[in-house]
Amino acid sequence: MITLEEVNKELKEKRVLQNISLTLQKGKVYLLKGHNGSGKTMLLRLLCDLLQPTSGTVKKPSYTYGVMIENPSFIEHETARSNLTFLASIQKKIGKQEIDSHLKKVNLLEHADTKVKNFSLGMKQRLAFCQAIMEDPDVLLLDEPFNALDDDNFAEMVRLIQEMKKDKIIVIAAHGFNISEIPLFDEIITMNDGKIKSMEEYNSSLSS
Amino acid sequence: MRKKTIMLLASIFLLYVIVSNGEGIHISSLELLATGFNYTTEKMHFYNYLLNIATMIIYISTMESAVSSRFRLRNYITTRGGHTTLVSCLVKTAVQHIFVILLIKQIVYFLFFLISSSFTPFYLFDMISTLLTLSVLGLMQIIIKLQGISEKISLFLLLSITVIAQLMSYQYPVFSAIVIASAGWQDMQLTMLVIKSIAIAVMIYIVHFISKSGKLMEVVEE
Repeated sequence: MITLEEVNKELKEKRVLQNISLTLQKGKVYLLKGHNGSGKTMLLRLLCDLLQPTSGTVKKPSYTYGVMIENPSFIEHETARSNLTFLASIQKKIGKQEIDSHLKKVNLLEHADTKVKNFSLGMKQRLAFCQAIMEDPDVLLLDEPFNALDDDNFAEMVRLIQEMKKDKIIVIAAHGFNISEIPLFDEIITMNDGKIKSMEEYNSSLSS
Repeated sequence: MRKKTIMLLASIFLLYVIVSNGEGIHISSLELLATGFNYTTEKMHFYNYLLNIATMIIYISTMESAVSSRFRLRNYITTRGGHTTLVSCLVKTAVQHIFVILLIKQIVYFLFFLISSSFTPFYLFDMISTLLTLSVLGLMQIIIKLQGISEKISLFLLLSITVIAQLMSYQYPVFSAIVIASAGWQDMQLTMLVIKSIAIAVMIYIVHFISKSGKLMEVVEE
């Protein structure tokens, strides 16, 4: 469980997050909604320690994180597999076999030895998703993960997230799509101007 | 990586071949290119100076491109191993590329030695000075990057420093501390190497301080 209490974050004397209090639990998928600049990405960064709060407290055990924040970035002149192998070498939790099995899950195994510079945006998006999930992290933070995906890969990613949700905290930041198209979320957090405007439970099975 | 290294070797070798020394392919080219100086007229040799700048552009841009491509993975690296891991990944990448450049220089020295059947006392100084100078520049690149400054500005900054320092070093020997070699390197080689070593120690301290401050990604993301 991750608990944020009265968390504020200032960058360049501008308050980008204001009085954020929320609790995130394992086994749930949270949708973080809001316009551009509403603070969604900042909140994701804060959840995985890329940012430290200016004030307030963040309580959590020592979780492992899989993140997909902003545009997918990779070493363009290297292959998909070598990018993942490099990232996997940091924690040394998984080897070549697991990397390949995850590449297969996101339909990229046949492009494993293709240089990333030759990937389409949708393929880069799937590769970014692959690096986020490959080490089976406790917390999955996905910023606009469905961008540039075709219908089949979109459905596959939703299926994979659903499959993984049992023992993870999953937060997905997204905007500009019809929520009833994605039968995935348990709670919806709406943000505006760096504040949480509302947080409500969502029964996706009813809407679908 | 292999293709890039071969390209790098070819371009550096070419620069050493076309340097002006009045003797064709000769081992003295290595010193003339590294200093951009004319020992006969005791003045800067403009053509060699330009080639010297070209080699520095190759060295610096090679390191910059390698460090930048690793830096693009910063979110993924930091969430896996923290800020210290990110910094050590960047340092490791820079060091790897410095050693590739040194290896290429070794090959060039060997080929020139074979062709001209003579050796130069400049070799040892060149190797140590290249290692130390590129280490200073690599660490500067990392510090600049961690401050959120873009790749282009970083490249421009380091190249400007090198170009100006090389030019100034012919008149004011103190500027030799910033470049790999300049006129009169024999007279002050030890001093230059000590200055560079101190600069590396200072840079390592700064990098360590930034990575431990915990504010690293905030600066980068602002």
